[in-house]
Amino acid sequence: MIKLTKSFPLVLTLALSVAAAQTLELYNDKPDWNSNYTKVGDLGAKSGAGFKGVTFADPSTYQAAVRTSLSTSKAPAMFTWWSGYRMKDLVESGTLQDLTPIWQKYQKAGEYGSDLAKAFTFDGKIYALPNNVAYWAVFYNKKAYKDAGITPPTTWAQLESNNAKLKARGVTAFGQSVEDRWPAFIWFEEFLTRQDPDLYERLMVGKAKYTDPGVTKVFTTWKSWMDKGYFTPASTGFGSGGTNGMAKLFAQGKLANILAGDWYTATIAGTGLKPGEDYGVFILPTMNAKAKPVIIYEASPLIVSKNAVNKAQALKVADFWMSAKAQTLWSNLQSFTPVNNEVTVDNPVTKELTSALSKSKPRLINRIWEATPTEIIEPGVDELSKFMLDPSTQSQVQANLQKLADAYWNKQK
Amino acid sequence: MTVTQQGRTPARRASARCSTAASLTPYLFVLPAVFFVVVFLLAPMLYTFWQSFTDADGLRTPNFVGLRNYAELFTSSNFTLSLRNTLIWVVASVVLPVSLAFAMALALERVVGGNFFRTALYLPSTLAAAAAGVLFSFIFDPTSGVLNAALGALGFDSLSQTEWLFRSPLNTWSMIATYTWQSVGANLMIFLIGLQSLPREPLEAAKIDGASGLKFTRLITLPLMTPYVTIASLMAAVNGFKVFDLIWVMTQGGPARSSETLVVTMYREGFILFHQGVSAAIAVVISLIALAFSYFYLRNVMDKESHV
Repeated sequence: MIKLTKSFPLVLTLALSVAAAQTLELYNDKPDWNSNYTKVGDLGAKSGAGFKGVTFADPSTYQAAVRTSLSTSKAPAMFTWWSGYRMKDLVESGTLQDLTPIWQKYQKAGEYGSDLAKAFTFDGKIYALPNNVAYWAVFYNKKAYKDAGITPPTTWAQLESNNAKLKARGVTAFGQSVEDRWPAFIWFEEFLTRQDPDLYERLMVGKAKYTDPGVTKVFTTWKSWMDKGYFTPASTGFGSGGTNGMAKLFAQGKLANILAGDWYTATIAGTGLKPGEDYGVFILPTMNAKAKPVIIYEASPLIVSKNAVNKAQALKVADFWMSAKAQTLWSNLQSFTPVNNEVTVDNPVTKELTSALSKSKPRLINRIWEATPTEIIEPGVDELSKFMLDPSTQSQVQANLQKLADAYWNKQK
Repeated sequence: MTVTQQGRTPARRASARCSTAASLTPYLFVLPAVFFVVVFLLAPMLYTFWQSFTDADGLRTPNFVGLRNYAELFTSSNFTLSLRNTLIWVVASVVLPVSLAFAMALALERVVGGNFFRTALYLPSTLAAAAAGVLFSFIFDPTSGVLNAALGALGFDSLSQTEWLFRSPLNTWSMIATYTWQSVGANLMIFLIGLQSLPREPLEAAKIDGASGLKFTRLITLPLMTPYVTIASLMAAVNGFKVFDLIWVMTQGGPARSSETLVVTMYREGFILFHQGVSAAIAVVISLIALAFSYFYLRNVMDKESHV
C-alpha cells in the first residue's frame, strides 16, 4: 500500500506524459487561428489523426524557436511557415520531410491541381501542405459605395473615378499602413503588378532594378494617390486594433476599401459587419484595360519536420489534412478560399471571390514577401515605410532598395 | 621514528581532515552560486563572443568569418543611427527620471499629503513596461489619442495631428517620455529613503547658519545625497542601455528603423533576419560600452567621494 502510494504520482506522471506525447502538436504563429486548428485536430482524432494547435503570439519568437529546434529531436512535428525564399533556407538545411507521395495521392484523385504545389516545390520535391492560399483582393463597404453612387470598378479609370467620388464625400478610398512594418509592401506590389506584372516578376529575381523607369512610375502613381487624399495616413493600424485600426474605420464607413489577403475577412467580421450584406469583394483592375487580370496570392505552407520524434504520426495527420473532410471544416471555419477541389464554403464574400477567380482566371503572382529574398524585402519594407511617411524620399528609397538588391544578387554570382 | 610517526598519524590525519573540511566548507557554500553564474552567465557570454566571429544563422553549422560582422556593423548607417538613439536614451534616462525624481522627493518632504503623492507617483513603476507601452500607444495615437485631442481642445490645432510615434526623432522622445513616467517612481523612492536617513546634525547646523531654499539644497542636501544620486544615476544609465520591451511594443524600432536602439537592432538581426553572428557582435559592443561606462563612472564618483 505504501509502495503503491509512493509510486502512484510517478505512474500518473508517466501516464500523462505518454498521453501528451500521443497528442501531436501543430506549431503556429497565428493565435486567432489556433482554436480552429484544434477543432480540425479533434475531427482527425476520430480516425487516429488527432492534433492540437500550439500558438506563439510573436512571429519573431516563433521563427527563432522553430529554426533553432529543427535540426534537433525537439523539432516540432508540424508547423506553419512562409513559402518561397523564406522556406528555401529550411529546405536547404535538410530538415524538412518530403511530402510528395501525399500530394501525388490526392492529385491522382483530382482533389488538387498541379499549380498549387509549385509554391512548396524545391528541386522537384514538395515539402509542404497548403495551410492556406490567400488571394489579395479589395474588400469594399457597400454602404459607402451606395452613398457615393458607385459600383466595384472593372477598369483602372473607373477605379480612379470612384476614388475621386469617395473623396468628395469625405470618405477615404483606400487604407495603407506601416504598422508592424510588413504592410508597407502591399501597395508597392499592387501598383507594380497592375502596371507591369512582367517587370514585377523580373524585379523579384534580380533581373530588373528598383531604379528602372517602370518602378519609378509606380512610386509616382502611389505619391499622386497620397497627394489626392485617396489613402489613409500611413500611421493607420492595419488590423482592427488600436483606435484607428483600418477595419474599424471601414466598419464606421470612413474608409471605403481595404486591400488585403482573403484571411482579412475574419478581421472585418470582428467589427460586426456581415459578409455579403455589409461588404463585398472585387479584384483590383489592371492599369491597361486590355491586359489579362492579375491577382497576388500568398501560399502559406504546413510543414513536417524530418527530425521530429513523432514523424510517423505527423505524416498520418498530413494525409488527413489534405482530405476533403479536413479541408471542408478548415476552409469554413476560417472563411478561406478552398484549396481542395471538392470543398465549398458558406461565407458569401469568399464565394464571391472564388467565383470572380474562376470567371476572370487572373494571372497568379506570388506575394513579394515570399517571391523575393528575405535579405531584400525585410529591410526593404523599412525603405517603403520611409517613402509612405515622406514621399519626398522617393529617389533615395529607390536607390536604397537597389543597393539591398545588389548586395544580395552579387553574392549569388 | 616509525613508532613516533605511527603514534602521531591518527591525530594528524584527523586534524588534517578537519582542516581540509573546514577549508572546503566555504567553497561548498558558494558552489551552487558559482555553478549558476558559470552556466547561465559566463558560458553564454563566451559563446556569444565566439558567435560574433561566425556567420551563424540558427540552421547551419557556423563558419568562422573573422571580424566581418564587426566591419559590417561599423560601416552600416543603421548601426550609427541605432548608436545615436541609444546614447539619447542613456543620457535622457539619467537626466529626466533621476532629476525629476530628486526634485519631487525634495518637494514631497515639504508638501501636505505627501503620502498620497508618493503612492500616486510610485504606482506607474509597478506596471510592466509592455503595459505602459500599450497604454501610451493609445495616448499618442494620431487620430484619436488623448494627447492630440487635448492639444486640439487647448487650441493648438497645428499640433493636434502630430504623429508622435511615426516621426523621427519625435518617436524616440515620445518613448522616453513614457519611460520617464514609468521609472520616476522607483528613483523617487531611493531619494525619499536617502533624505530620511541623512544625518540631522549638519542639516540643523546649516539651518542655524542661515542656509535655506536653493542654497541649502545645492550646498548641503545634494552633497550628502551623493551616494544615492550615484546609485540612481548608474542604475538609470544601465536601464537606459537595456530598454527593449517598451520600444518593441510602441514602435518595434520603426518606422523605417528610425527609433531602433542597439538592443532592438540586436534583436532584429538575431531573430528577424537570423544574422546571429551580427547580432552577437552587437551584443559584444553593447556589453563593452556598458562596462566602460560603468567603470569610468564609478571610478570618477568614488574618487570624488574619497576626496570628500
